[in-house]
Amino acid sequence: MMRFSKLLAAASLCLILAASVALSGSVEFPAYKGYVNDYVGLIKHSDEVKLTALLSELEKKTTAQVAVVMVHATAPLDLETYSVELAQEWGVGQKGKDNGVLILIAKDDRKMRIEVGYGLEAKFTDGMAGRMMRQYFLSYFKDGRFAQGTVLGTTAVAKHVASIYGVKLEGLAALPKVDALRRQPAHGFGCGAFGLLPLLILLIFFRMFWRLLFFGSLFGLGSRGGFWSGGGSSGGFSGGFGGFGGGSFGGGGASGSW
Amino acid sequence: MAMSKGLKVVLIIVVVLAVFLLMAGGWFVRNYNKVVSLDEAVSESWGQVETQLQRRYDLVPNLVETVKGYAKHEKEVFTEITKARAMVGSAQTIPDKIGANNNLTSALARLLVVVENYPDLKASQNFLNLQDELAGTENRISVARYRYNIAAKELNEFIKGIPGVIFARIRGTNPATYFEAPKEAKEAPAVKF
Repeated sequence: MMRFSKLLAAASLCLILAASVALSGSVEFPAYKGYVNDYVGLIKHSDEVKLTALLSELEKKTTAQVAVVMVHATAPLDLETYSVELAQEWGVGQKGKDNGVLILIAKDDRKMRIEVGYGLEAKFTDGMAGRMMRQYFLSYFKDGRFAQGTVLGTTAVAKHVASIYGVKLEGLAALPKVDALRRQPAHGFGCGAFGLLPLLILLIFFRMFWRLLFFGSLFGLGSRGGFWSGGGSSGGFSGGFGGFGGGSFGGGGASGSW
Repeated sequence: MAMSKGLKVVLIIVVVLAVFLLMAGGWFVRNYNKVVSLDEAVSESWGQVETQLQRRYDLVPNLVETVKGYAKHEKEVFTEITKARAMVGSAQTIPDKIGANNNLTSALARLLVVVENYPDLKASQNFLNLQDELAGTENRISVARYRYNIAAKELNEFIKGIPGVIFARIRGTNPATYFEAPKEAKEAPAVKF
C-alpha cells in the first residue's frame, strides 16, 4: 500500500515538472510543409505548385532557400520576433552559409515581413527588402489582391536571390512577369515618370527572349521528375523536398503593413 | 575460503570509495564546465549585440546630417543626439554600454518625432533609405538583445542556484546584466509610407 502511494507521488511530481517545462517553453510554431506554407488558403494550388517548382530550382542551382509562410496572426509574439524565431526554428537556408529568406504574411494582422538570413544581408539589404515588399506585395494587398501579390512577390524575391548568385531560373516563365524594382517608393511622387522607362526597356528585352524562354522551359516541364524532384518517390512537384538546411538569421529584412 | 572476511570488507570499501570519488570528480568537472560554457555563450551573444550597436552608432551621423538638411533649426534634438552618441562611444563596462545605448535609443526616437513635422524630409529618397537602414538595425539590435538576454538568464539561473553558486564562486563568474530596453524603444521607428 505504501509503495503505491509513493509511486503516485512520484508520478504526480513528474507530471507537474513536465507541464511546467512545457508551459514555460517557447511558442509553438507550425511545422513546415515545403517552400510554400499556406496556412490561410491565400493562393491557389496551381500557383503553389509553380512557386514550389521555382524555389526548388533556386535551391538546386544556388543552395539558397526561400520559404513563404501565410498565417492568420503572429500572436502572442509581435511580427518581428515571430518572423526571426520561425526562420531560425525552421532553419531556412544552409547551415554555415545562412542563405535563407523567409517571407511571412500575417493576413489577419495585416502585416508582413521579409526576413533575410545572415549570409544574404549584404546583397539583399534592408532597403531592398523594404522596396520589394512595398512594390510587389503591399501595393496588391492594399487592393485585396492577396493571391496576386503573394505570387508576384515571392517570384520577385526568388528572382533577386538568383541574380545574387548570377543564376537564371527557368521556372520564371510559368509565373507573372516581375517588373524592375523602382528606386522611388511605390506610392511616392514622380514614380510614374521614373518607373515607366525601365519598364519599357524590360518589355522590349522580354519580347525578344520570350521565344527562347518559352521553348526552353517546355523541355524542362516535359520530363517529369527529372528536373524538379531530385529523389522524391511520390510523383508530382511536392516530392523531393528535403527540409531546410539549418540557416541562421539575425533580424535583417523589412516589415510592412497594409 | 581464500580471503579472510576482513580483507573482503576492506576490498568492498575501497571499490565503493573509488566509485564514489570517480562520480564526485565527474560531477565537479561537469558543473565547472557548465559555468564556463554558459559564460561563453553570454560573451558570444554580447559580441553580437555590440556588433549591431556599432552598426547603429555608425549610422547616426549620416542620419543627423540628412535631417539637418531640412530641419536646421531643431538644434536641441541634434545636441541631444550628439551627446548620447558620445556617451555610447566612451562607455566601457557592459552596464554602462547598456545605459548609454538606451539613452541613444530615446534620443533617436525624439529625432524621429521631429521628422514628422517635415513632410519633404520624410518623402526624400535619402531619408527613406536611412529609415529603412535604421529600422533594420534596430531590429537586429532587438534580436541580438533577445538572444543575449536568454543566454544571460541561463547563466544567472544556474549560478544563483545550487550547486551553480559554488562553482561560480570558484571560477569568479559574476551574473550577467540584462539588456532591458527603454520604454520608447518598444515603439520601434517604423517605416511609414
